Amino acid sequence: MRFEAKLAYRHLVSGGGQTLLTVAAVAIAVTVIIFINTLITGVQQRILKDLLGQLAHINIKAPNPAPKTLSDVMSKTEAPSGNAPFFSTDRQKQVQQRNDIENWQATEKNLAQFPGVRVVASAVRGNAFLIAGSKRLGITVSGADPISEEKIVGLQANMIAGNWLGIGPEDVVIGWRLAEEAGVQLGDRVRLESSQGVSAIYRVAGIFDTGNNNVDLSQAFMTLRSAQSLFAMKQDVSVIQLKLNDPFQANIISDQIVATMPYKVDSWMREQAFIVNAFQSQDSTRLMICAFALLASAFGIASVLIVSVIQKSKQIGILKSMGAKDRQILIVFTLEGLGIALVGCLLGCLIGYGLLKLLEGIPQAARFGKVDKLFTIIYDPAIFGGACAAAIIATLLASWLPAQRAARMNPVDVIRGG
Amino acid sequence: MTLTAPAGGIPAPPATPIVQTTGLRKTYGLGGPNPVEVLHGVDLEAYAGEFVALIGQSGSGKSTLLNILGALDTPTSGRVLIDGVDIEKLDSNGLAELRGQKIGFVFQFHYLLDEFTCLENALMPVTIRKGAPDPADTDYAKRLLARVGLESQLNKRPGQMSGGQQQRNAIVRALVNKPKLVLADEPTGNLDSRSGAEVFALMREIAHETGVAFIMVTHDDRLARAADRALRIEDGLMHDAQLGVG
Repeated sequence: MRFEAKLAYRHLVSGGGQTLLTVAAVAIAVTVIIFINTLITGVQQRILKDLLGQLAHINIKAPNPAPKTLSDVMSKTEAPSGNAPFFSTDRQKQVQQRNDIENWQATEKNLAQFPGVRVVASAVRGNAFLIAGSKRLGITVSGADPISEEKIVGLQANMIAGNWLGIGPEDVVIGWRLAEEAGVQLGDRVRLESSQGVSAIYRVAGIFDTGNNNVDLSQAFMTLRSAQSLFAMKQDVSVIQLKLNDPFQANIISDQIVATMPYKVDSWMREQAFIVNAFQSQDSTRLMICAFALLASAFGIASVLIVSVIQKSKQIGILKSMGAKDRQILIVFTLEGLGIALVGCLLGCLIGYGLLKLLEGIPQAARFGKVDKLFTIIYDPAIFGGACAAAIIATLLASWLPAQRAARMNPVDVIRGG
Repeated sequence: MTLTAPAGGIPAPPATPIVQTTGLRKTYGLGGPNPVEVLHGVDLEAYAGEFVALIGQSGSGKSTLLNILGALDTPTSGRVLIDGVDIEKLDSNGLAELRGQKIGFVFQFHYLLDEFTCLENALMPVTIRKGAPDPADTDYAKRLLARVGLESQLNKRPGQMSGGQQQRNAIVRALVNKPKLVLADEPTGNLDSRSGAEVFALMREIAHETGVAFIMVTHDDRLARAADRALRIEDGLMHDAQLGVG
């Protein structure tokens, strides 16, 4: 191996421009792969954060109750005319039975045991009207312990006035669009009237800007206890929310939960299928870009190496006349490919890192004086490693043909060429 | 150095030849429309320490013969024994090993590797065989390089040496593995007459000093006459050369 390594090294060093060309081809491919993948991952993270930041990855609700026969509901003993029984409609059922989660503390503990679950937070959720002056605005109210709810919705970073984590039972936190629409300011009092018909007055203790219009216009947050009384829920909750380590595991984990617990489990991936589809098409785009980058680089390397093998055919013949075996020659040129790949990868990683650093520095002005980054850059070692692995494999494949050609060279033919 | 026959005449050949061919035939284009037989049954023997010149017109098959003797090419029929080994019985790895251990080559062009120094080039066969030379190999290579007058060129690249120096470097490379047989294909053909004469004399002396069998293809009768034995290959058949004196 020392002979092969030494010869490969000398070839590369004395190769000059040819070596640089091939190294550059690998470096560019690696840079493109790192760049594209990091950018698209960043965009997806950003979309996830902006669109789903306020949403749980999985929502667990009590199941719709089993259909009851009309006779049960009406407390009648016989089905009419002795045929198949009539069933109550869904709407009727719901009037009959509230689907709240009663023993939610124990369920929370069970859910926390599932692998991949990061946060478990229970909440009361319901529809209400926000009444300010003559305006009645339909909103969704979430009531939960602010500390655990914060882990789901991440509201604290989006607060533009007041506070959220320290709210009391009389307080409500609303979005800036809702505040604007209702014409209320921090500290103003608003009346909320729930779908259960309960109505109470709350103080606007905080205003947030999530960047999500829908949330900013129609969401209000309060403490669990306040919401329980607003929706007449006693000690129960209406939903248990989960955040996962990997949001894209939501379908798998929700199926696992369904298999073990008698609840209705909704994964964001099913509820927001359009986003998942968009991500999938982004993923195929990036895959294609990466594949083309690798392919272009591999063809470049293969052609340069073939030229180099032809240039070195005499030398190969001489080495064989001195006892070099086919395998040794094969190793020499494969090592050259590997050397090119390794240096190219290192260079590509550095260039990719530099470019990302550059992009990361670009600011994006947001509302209310907040400054965001234009690009969400996450330096994922897996992307860097994956880019290098792909480039190394592509380069080795590209060097395989030239190396084979070199190994098969007949010394007589090349030496006779004079 | 002058070109004279060695004092005491041709040494008596030992019993077993280093290289021996019997009924060697080589046909090119076999199976094609116009097969050409280049060698029509060549019998040849060369002994340790013997310097044999092989002369013939161009196209007479001398280079083909040399390639077969060097285990670079295989005969169409006939037998080749190199140090007792029948090359027909070897696969390509076996042939490579045989070349590495028992045969040295000197070509018309030096074919030194540009990427390596004089000493590294001289040690190349050892490096191929062992991965890296050990100190004894380096010592031996340095002694051989000193023997051919290259002691001051050890770290020069081929491009920094003269044609004669390059060819002497190539001769050392052919000898560094202590082969039994050195095959030289017009080794002086590309040198001016003075360097050529020097290189030739050196090879002949080394053959006698080291006990290597040397077979040199040449078309220079003057050089052939100075060899221990001269063979002429004509129309693919081997003859003892009838060389006029002078």
